[in-house]
Amino acid sequence: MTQVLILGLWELILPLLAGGMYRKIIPKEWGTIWRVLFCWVMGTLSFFALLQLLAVPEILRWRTLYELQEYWTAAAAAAAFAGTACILTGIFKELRSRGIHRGEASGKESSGSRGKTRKGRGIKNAGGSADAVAKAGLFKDPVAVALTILALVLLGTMIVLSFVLTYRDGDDAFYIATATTAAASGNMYRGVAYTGSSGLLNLRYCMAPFPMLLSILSRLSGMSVATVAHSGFPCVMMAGTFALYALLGKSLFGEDRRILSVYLVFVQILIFFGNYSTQSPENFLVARSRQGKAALANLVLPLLFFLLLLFFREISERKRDGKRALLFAFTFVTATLAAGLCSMLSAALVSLLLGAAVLCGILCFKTWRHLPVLILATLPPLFYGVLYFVLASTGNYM
Amino acid sequence: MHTIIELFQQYMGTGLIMILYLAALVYGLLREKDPVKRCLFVYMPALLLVLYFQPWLSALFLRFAGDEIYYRILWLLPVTVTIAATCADLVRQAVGCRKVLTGVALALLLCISGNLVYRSPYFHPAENPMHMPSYVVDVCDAIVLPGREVMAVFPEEFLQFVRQYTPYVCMPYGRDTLLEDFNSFHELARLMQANVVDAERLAECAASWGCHYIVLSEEREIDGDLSAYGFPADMKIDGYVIYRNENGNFDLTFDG
Repeated sequence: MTQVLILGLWELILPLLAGGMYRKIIPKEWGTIWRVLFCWVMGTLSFFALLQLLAVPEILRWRTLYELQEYWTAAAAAAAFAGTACILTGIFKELRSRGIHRGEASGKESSGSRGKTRKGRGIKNAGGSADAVAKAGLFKDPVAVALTILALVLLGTMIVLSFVLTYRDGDDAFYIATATTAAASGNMYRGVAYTGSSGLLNLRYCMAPFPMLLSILSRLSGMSVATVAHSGFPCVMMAGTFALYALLGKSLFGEDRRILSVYLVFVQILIFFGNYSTQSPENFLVARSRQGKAALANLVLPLLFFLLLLFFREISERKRDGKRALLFAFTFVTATLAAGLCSMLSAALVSLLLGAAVLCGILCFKTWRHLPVLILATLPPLFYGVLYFVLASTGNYM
Repeated sequence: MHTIIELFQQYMGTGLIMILYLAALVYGLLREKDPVKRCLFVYMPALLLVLYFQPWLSALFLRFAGDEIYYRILWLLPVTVTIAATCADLVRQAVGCRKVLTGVALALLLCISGNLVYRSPYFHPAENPMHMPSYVVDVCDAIVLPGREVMAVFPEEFLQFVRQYTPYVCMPYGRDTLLEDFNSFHELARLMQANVVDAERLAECAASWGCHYIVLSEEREIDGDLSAYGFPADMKIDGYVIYRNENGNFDLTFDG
């Protein structure tokens, strides 16, 4: 039980807190629930990004997993601390602004317009106007509630099935074995995972050390790597993917909760029936959720679409806000660094996606303003791609 | 170009989902007024689809990453979001009780177009939270020695799982060997996969690889007696016989 709680701390609570750094990406009008969902997903990916930043140099310098674990836990804890500070600052500012509103309201009350101000104060007291409206809207429409519950039941079924069914994928013989070896011996990518014999570093895998995340989570929680990989991690992947599709739906359908819930049911059906080929992202999500490739296809790429949607919305509205542009750049870079952890191929895929976004953005919005942020976001995958080719050309690696 | 199309066909499966996606793209092109949505869910995927079919891009991938993963460019198409959003939009436009009918009809169409993920033959009931077959767990627990690694040669059905379960059991060849051409197989792998196991050659080869154990199914036909060549049967677990190398080094010091 303690092991489950520790794993929950590292997969749910700390990422949620760390995600506080990115909470302002979500428009305030959306309300708290959407911010919480986004913070959790972003926090999880910020942990991926931190691991990518720390793990690649550690592996190339032949350091042990134990050292990497120390650095990563410190960095993740610092991120969670920073995120908590951001959340608390936000709450403090919100309370202060409410206090000002209340002061204004009571001032108006005393000047004779009681009825109107009470109504306004009622909404604000219910937890901020946006939240109150959102909560009121949610429970007013029983069809939307029923359909949302149906979508959540389908998600729950998928998570339960990930516990009771196992998909025997051959690639686990490499990825999970790599993680198991690292967790037990501290050696990262120093041997042949399939057999346990010694061998040259395989550069392609070293540059995207997703299995090290499983090793660290296993060591932190005290569970075996196989348990973390096959039973612990799929929950995060599936819930995270659902959260991202919900966020995408929210940005597409706005306040129309009924259609949003219909959309979520369709998304779940598409995932359940996503075995049109073994190569589809849906198949990777259900069958191979412990592999970096699945995280790339189902967490990072939908997140990039979501961020592009919000970013382009602001570009199209001709908003000029340097601080928000910086926040977007920080969030995009976190996402693309996280992509690097998942798969070496992400260097090509992310560059291609962002390149296409740059081009389409220029043509659709007749502006170059999105260029600096998206170019900055492309730098991490390009850096790892170039590093790979430079190191591969030395001939010291496989 | 031939490979690109083949990979695309493999990725599409029956092709129905891709047809639905292309229909959703056309729907978005005709109906979507929001420039941001048009940009991200119509123009950008169309551009990526055009890029996918470019021979120069596939040649670049082929050179640096191998053609078997070229299909992953198709992951950049937001297929699920676009189809689900289009279906939801069609439900929104339906009037009265037609909303329910449209919703149910579209849900059925999606079910028919795809294939239930859990129907895959690779899904099995999980026997434990580690999702490892119990025979792997039992055999590995029986041969593992605290404080050192052991080398063992296993039947094919073990290869995928042994090193996922424990890093303390090493193998002379792993699952990667089975992916190679049979003629370039590890000699030990060829001996283990033969219809009738040649006891003398297997024992000799396993000993030369420093194997502490040979694990064989009880049902395997063996030509000769492994115990006569230094590998007496040590235990029987879950239908597998574990032969122990009587000349093996079982000291608690690493012997490489």
